[in-house]
Amino acid sequence: MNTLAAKEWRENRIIIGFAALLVAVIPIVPTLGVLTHLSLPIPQSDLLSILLSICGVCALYCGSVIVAPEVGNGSLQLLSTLPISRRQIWWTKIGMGLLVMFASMVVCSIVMILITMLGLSMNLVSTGQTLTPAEYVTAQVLVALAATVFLFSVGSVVTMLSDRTLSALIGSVVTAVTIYLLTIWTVGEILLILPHRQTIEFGTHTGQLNILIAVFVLITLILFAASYRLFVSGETLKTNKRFRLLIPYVAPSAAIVLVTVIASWFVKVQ
Amino acid sequence: MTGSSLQELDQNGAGSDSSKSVKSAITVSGVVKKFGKTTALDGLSMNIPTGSVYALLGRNGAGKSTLVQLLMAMMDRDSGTISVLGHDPAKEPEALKQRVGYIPDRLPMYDWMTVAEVLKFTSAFYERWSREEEIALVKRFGLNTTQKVSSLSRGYRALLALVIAMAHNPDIVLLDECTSGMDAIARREFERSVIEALQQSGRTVLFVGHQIDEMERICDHVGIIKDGKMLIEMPLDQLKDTVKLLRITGEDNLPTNAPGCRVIEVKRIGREQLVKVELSKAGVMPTLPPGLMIQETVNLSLEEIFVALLDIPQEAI
Repeated sequence: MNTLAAKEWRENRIIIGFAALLVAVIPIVPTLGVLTHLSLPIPQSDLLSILLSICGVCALYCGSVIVAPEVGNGSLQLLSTLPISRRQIWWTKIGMGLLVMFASMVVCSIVMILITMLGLSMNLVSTGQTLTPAEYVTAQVLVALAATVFLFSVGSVVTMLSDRTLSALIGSVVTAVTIYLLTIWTVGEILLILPHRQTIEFGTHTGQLNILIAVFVLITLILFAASYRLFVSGETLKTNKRFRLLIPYVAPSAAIVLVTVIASWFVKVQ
Repeated sequence: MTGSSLQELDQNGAGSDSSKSVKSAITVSGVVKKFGKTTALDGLSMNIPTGSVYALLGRNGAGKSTLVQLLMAMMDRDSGTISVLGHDPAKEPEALKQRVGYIPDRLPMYDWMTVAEVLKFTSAFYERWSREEEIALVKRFGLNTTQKVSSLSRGYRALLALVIAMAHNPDIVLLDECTSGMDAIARREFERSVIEALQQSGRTVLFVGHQIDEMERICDHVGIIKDGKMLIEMPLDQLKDTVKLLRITGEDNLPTNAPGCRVIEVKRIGREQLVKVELSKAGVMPTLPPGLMIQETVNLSLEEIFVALLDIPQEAI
């Protein structure tokens, strides 16, 4: 298992360097005249948004490359012939994928701090956002962690349905955006339908934000369960059996969305 | 063509008595495997005696590779039973893989690793991996351990796969069309290496492939699959004694239901007929009607038998 973990690390560690490089080139971008709305020193809020976007893409990528490239080049077949259970392979791959993703986030954060220290970015106070380190951690880092793990879990499912890195990554982006929009809409509609109707503005109402985070944590767990089932029972991961295995995980969610659509329509009609 | 008389012979003839006395390394019984609406294996049964070198033949899509993947616990069967060295692949896949060496057709490897790294990586999973055996095989096959796998020719890739399949001292070696895509010289070279590596090892070997003439030189047992079913399975010598080419003289044609045989194919040249027959009993010639006489009995090669039994037109070969 350690050997497999070491192999996974060697294959994916380049993502960390690539993500750090992306963050490091941000101060160079304004000088190239590419993104003209950015100017040095870059406001830290912009830098933070860019950092979060890079971490999100990293998370999707780390999830997407778990299996798809190995199906494409056939090396999953080699792995399947070795005396190691598919459960162990899945746990190792997911564990190492998450490790690389978190390492990328840490390294990117360090690079961002260095950029700030070099005076290439304004600090939080000067932009009017007076976040204390504790608030920053709770408000930003925890949400960022939940979001990146969610994105990783999306990638870990889509990778089982593809045999190319690029198609898995594109599929992951489309799936993540679809799940995000459907979830926001469905949760918002359900809260509207509930007896205490109120305007939902996620992000400002802490209670409702917590509900949304809880829903996304639940979706993340369901996605990991689907990924596990697909890998352990999906045989060669080349047959239509994969899609049949996915039905029990997709069908209830689709049913919830459908029921919400109908219920929402009834409420509006009344 | 059903090959029913051959199966009968296999079940009732002398061959089955001898095979019963030998312990089976692999036993497959009534296995069904479907992919959606396609039935890859349709109640297939097979018995591979311990220590035998078994050739599994069949046309493309007959179900050979699916069977091998079931034996290697890479897929789950829909029904039937499988026993590999006493292990059920569905229940004890790891224990089974410790005792089986497998070379798949695509020879999958991690291309970014060197030969040494691939060997180090795979060796970590096997309890019985022998470093001495590994070094000996690498030396014998002339593999450069510092070379990247991506730069290896298909022949050397196959040899590296052979090292991986052999260095953990497996009891069974499965070779699944691993010589496809190799040129004739590389194939010969690989075949020679396999024979050398397996010589006196007493291992059970299952060859799956299309190079029938080459497999004929190595194998002692043959199984032919057609449409997911085992058409025929018996020792090679017995098979060769069962399917014959007869040169018959006489005005009349040999009836298709002549006693003691089943006529597979007839070619008439003047008063002579060249008839491929499947004998009901190995080595026992059929009773011919009056006016017909067997002038010569010709032994067929395994490839000719394969073609005859699968009703493949000669021009398609």
